[in-house]
Amino acid sequence: MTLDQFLKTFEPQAPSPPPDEAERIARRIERDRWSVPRWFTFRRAVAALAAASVMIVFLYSRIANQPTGDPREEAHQIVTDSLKQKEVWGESGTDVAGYEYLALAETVSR
Amino acid sequence: MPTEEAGSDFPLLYERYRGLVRGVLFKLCGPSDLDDLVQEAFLRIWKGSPGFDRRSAFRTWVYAIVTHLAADHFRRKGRRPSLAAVDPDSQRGTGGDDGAVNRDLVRRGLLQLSEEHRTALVLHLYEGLSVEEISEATASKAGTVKSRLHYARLAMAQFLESQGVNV
Repeated sequence: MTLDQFLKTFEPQAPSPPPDEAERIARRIERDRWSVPRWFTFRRAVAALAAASVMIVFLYSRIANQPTGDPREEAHQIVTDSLKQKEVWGESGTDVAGYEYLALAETVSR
Repeated sequence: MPTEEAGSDFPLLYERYRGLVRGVLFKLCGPSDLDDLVQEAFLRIWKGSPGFDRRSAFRTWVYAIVTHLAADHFRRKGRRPSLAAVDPDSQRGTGGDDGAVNRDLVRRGLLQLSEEHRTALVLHLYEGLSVEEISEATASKAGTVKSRLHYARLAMAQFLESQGVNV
């Protein structure tokens, strides 16, 4: 008898499965369907939340600063920003600020 | 459920592949943890079948799942299946007849092989897979599989000889 013949003739036989094996596995599959996936961990959840927050802030800032398309509105925005940088745009709006505003508005509108 | 091969329901999948899964896992891992391993194998097959890409036969894919599961099992345990894991009654040969004694010898011989050698020999000899199919299931080159088969046979012959069996 050759080695292969011997090994095949005396092939090890697995013990019989438990009678309810199929049902047990089917129940486990059903249970797993509603369980939290393995890849879901606390760290990943926090990372995903942080990434989503950054994305929302970024998108909001983009939308908020988007030009309106109205040239007068845009000119007003540019002048306001410029005056703010010059620190002459007081809370009550002084003459100097008003003068600066008009001068700049005229420049921008040209 | 995913593929036509796997069937539309779990009982069908189980009926088709229970013999294959249980038989291969028994030869690769021994009797301890066998029921748990079979359950884990079917879970992986069931969950993984939606992603089955049909590049290979479904049966070959099932062999790949089972052999990977056996490899994971050894890694988790950090050892190969020891003879201590074998039922002591069967080691003595139940009933004392030659068939049972020789079957037990073969099983012990298989468990003494390295994981790769045992996998190659079991898939080729008992499951009838070709070298190409084994290389696909184990993600190894055909030459490597041939070499593993050669050394597995050599080791089995030496083991059997050491136990007084000349083949």
